[in-house]
Amino acid sequence: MAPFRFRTVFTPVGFAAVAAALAVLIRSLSARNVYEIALVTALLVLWLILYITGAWGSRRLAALEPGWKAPVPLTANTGEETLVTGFDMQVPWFFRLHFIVKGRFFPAGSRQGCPVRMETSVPPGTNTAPLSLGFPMSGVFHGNGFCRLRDIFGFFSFPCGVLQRRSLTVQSAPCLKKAVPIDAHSGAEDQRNKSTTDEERYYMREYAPGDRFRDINWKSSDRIDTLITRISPDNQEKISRLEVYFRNFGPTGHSAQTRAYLQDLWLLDRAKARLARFLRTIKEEQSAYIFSVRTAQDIWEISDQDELELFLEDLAGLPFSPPINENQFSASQEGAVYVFSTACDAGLPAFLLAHQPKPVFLFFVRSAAPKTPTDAIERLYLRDFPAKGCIPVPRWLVPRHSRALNPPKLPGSRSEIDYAEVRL
Amino acid sequence: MKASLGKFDRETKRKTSLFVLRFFCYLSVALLAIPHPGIPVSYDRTGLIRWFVIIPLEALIAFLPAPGGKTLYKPALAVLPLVVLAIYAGGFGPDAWSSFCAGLLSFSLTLLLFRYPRWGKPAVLEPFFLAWVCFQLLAFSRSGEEASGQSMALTQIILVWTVLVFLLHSVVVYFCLYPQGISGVKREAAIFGLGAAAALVLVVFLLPADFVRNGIVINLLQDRIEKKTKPDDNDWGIPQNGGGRDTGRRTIPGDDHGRQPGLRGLSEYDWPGEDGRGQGSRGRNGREDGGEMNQQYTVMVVASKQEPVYLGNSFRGRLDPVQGFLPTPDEPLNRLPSMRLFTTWFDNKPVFDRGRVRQEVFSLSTLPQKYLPYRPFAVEPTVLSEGSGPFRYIHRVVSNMYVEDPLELVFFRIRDLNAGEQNTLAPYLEFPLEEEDRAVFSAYLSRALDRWRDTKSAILPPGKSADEYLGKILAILLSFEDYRYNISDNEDSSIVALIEFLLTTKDGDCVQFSNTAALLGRLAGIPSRVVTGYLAANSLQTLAHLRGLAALRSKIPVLQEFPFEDLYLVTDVHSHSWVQFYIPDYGWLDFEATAFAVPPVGFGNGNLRDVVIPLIDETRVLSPVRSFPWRAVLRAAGILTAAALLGAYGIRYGREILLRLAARRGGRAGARSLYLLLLAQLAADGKPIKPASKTAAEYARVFHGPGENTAFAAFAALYTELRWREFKNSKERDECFRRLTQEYRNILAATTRRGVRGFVIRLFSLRGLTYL
Repeated sequence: MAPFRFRTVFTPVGFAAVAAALAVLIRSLSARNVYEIALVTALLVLWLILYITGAWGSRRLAALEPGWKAPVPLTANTGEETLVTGFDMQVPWFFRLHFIVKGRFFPAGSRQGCPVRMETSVPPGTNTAPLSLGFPMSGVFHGNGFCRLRDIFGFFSFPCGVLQRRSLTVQSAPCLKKAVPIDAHSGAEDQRNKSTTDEERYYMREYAPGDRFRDINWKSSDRIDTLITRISPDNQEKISRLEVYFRNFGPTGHSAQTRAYLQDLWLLDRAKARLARFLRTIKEEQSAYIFSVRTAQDIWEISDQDELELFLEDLAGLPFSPPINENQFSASQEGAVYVFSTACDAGLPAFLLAHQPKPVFLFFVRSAAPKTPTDAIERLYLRDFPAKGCIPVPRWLVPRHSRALNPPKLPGSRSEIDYAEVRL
Repeated sequence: MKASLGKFDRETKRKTSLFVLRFFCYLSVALLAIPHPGIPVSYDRTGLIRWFVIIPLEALIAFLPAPGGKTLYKPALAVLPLVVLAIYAGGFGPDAWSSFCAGLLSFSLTLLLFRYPRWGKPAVLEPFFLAWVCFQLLAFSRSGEEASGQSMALTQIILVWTVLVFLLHSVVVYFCLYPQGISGVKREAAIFGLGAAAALVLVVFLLPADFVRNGIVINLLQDRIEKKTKPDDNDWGIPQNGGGRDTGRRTIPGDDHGRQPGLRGLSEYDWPGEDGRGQGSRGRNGREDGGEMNQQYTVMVVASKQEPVYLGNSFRGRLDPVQGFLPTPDEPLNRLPSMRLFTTWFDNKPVFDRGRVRQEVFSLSTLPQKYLPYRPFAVEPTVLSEGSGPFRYIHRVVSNMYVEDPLELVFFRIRDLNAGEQNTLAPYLEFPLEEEDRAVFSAYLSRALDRWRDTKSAILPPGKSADEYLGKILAILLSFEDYRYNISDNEDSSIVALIEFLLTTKDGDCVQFSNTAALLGRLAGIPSRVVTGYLAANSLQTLAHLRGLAALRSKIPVLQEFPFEDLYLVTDVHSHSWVQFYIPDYGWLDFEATAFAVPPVGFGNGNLRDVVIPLIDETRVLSPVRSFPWRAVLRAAGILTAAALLGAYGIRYGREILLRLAARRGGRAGARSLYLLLLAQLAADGKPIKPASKTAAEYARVFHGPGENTAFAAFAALYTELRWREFKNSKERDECFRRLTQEYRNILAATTRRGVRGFVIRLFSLRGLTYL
């Protein structure tokens, strides 16, 4: 049996209205003022009628269980609307059914969550209501969905329906940059040296990381300014394995792990977006590729689209890891290494040195430098939090000293830098 | 695309409807005071600008889309007119601040409610504010019998409107916060409207219109008046014992030969003042505003249990080296007399002064400004009294009055001023006079003090000693015993005039006596100031005053609430100036410097002039049966309509000017502005309205006239290009915009209706507002 929980049906407006009415009533009775008595009596009668109607309506709607299904995958900053269904019961006049989602949102795997409240009302005569589920960045949302029966004057809010608990993973907003051109000397090509014959038929496609250098059709590539790979039917593409490191190591110190600044979380979010973009792009073009993604917490082997989606779900909730045991998943295989990291990763130079002389592709996210072009910066606006129903943690309002470190330059490595910053 | 445009269109319409409804609620409440005859203090200039310009304008700026679609421009657009208007309305004082805050609040709440509804919850306070205003109007209109009677059915309308506006505004706020629920509201609106109409009919026809401060039993006003009214026709209504007047400090005075002033009547329609009503203030001689010499005109009737009552409206604590005592600018009591009060004003500061008793003072006055006995505790809003001729204003004040004779304090030990008092009262001890002038007053004071030391043993009762602090005051007042008090028109209180009075003429008005006493008081180290106003005292009530009082009381019902002995007829010759000295532990006390001078004789005694009272037209006595105030309602509806029309034309032409200015910038934004301007102009000229779902090119197909279609099609093509194409350089874009401007002119030249009729239609059409 569920423990008894007192839930008031008065809204602050209703409470204030009835308090004011009672105060005027006492005054009017002491002054025997018929006008004031008539005034407050009218208000109190209306209030009483609304109360009885609302109480009766909420009893009728006690078993209401609306269908609430969040979009999968749920992506940040897309303004997707969830359709809440199943409101097929009649509500009394001057009342509306509300569906409220209330919980906490933990951005980018932070352990510090911010309160979230989203609400929608159901138009009379319909059985669905659009609920705008918006989150400013990636993370995990834990919350409840429940119904309320409210009058349009704002006096009462009666609980009704069945409580529904949900945990939603919010993936990073898509990284809209173009796919990073990978150098053909990536090492993913094999050493086969077979000459072509006249009978062979080729087909062309855009170059993807891992293609053999010799298969590039340079003439066509030059003509359309894009690398084009020539694929022979006799020489089927081999299955390649890409070693990907997602270095989600965070700032030094235990407290920093639990109470990360929003700036650091935003860098991590952008690194996740970059990784997601990288994996999706390659998977679309080379479906046979297998990724071995190593993070501070675990290793994921991704061979098909389903596994990729599952990984991206896990990735969204992946928090910063303290900079300990950084080399527990050190690369053992040969070939190029793809590294995704942020400016919070203090152990990155040592990691890159340890992989010398293997070719390293580094995707690095850092704060904007003073001369960074504005359009190259991905910005998170703090005002987006309240605009989407999240109340930011006070600590996030404090601007953090921006990390503007450049990644180390090592021979044989290539780096792509993304810029991200938080603004009010 | 069409679906989304349709949704956008619906959303805009919904928001506009809610905004208009909210605007209507606000305006209806703000305008209620204007047609209401029971509320005598209408909006002044500051109030009008604040409530009818600043607040609506800021709400409109917050609601309308930002220029160029950039929300960041909005605060700048809001603050600029706000600052200008606030300074224009209130100068650089507190009024400007309050206007600025009101405008800012209006802008913020509207912006939150309509643009950021997720955070618009603070707007739930708006219905409470409007209901509070309605409720105050209701209480205000019923604060007196006359006010209630005159308000007629408007009181009942306000009663219903208080509930309605609260609920209606709550609904607006609800649908702004939760927009989905607005569909299907028509059925509920119909029920709501029917219920409201039924309530209005019930209340208007069942509740008595003149029901005031009484029980639920309906007892008509006139019945009650008849029971209390009946002065004897022979004795002028004066009670047998003279109204208890023989208990005063002086008996009813006549002149040396026992001659009493006469009583004259003047029709209320001929009473000097605005529109024949007693608005004007007259000089001492009663000749201004059409008065005659040797007459004193009634200014007010005062009711008080305490006597005498010093009713001040100007507290003069600032001493100017040339002009003498001037009103203290930062003294709240100087602002209070003319302050428009909406609710009862309270002074919540604790009163530690000894000997003060809370007394209610009522005055039925011909003057709109209030006169306050020191020290006011509660001041009721001024109430209009329509059934009492020139006595149009009812002022009720409750003051903590000092009820004993302050001179009696001379026998008590009075402590010196402590450090805190000296610091606070430093402005009242300043003596910034020239050395030469100071020497004159110092010499006079030392002579007065010497004389007091020499004679006090003879003056004081045997065995009594005088306090030093009060002794100084008594010395100053006693020094005037050789001076003659005469009522005159000389109100010169400059230092030169005071020195002349002190050394040469030794003959002066109350102004010279009070100012000189205050100067000498400061010189003696006693905080002093001068107060001007009226004096209501037994000593000033001659038989003519009492007869006039009785006559007025028999005609004016509100005066019958008070015993005759508590009433005082105050005329223009009773305007007075007196001195206030600060006594430690007792506060500011009123002292009468003229009481020690040689009394006035002959023409110098203005109180012996004939008393003139207004003759109240009895046919004007209000009937308890009220008719519906059609005129007031039509006037309110007319004002509302005029305001709405003015606002609409303001928006139309303001928008066109803004669009013209924006179109000059060229580029993408300029093209957009030019397009919107063209649409507005075509709509004003009677052309079809472009649906939101149609693009410019689709709309161009509407025009089939010769030359019209091609011009509009070319315009649409250029507009689409300017709007969506990325130009390589600005020269190419400017050329495109130039061609667009040319096509704009071509369209107007080809489509505009010719003739006077077309011009008039274009001038007054509001169809372009559809595109808002």
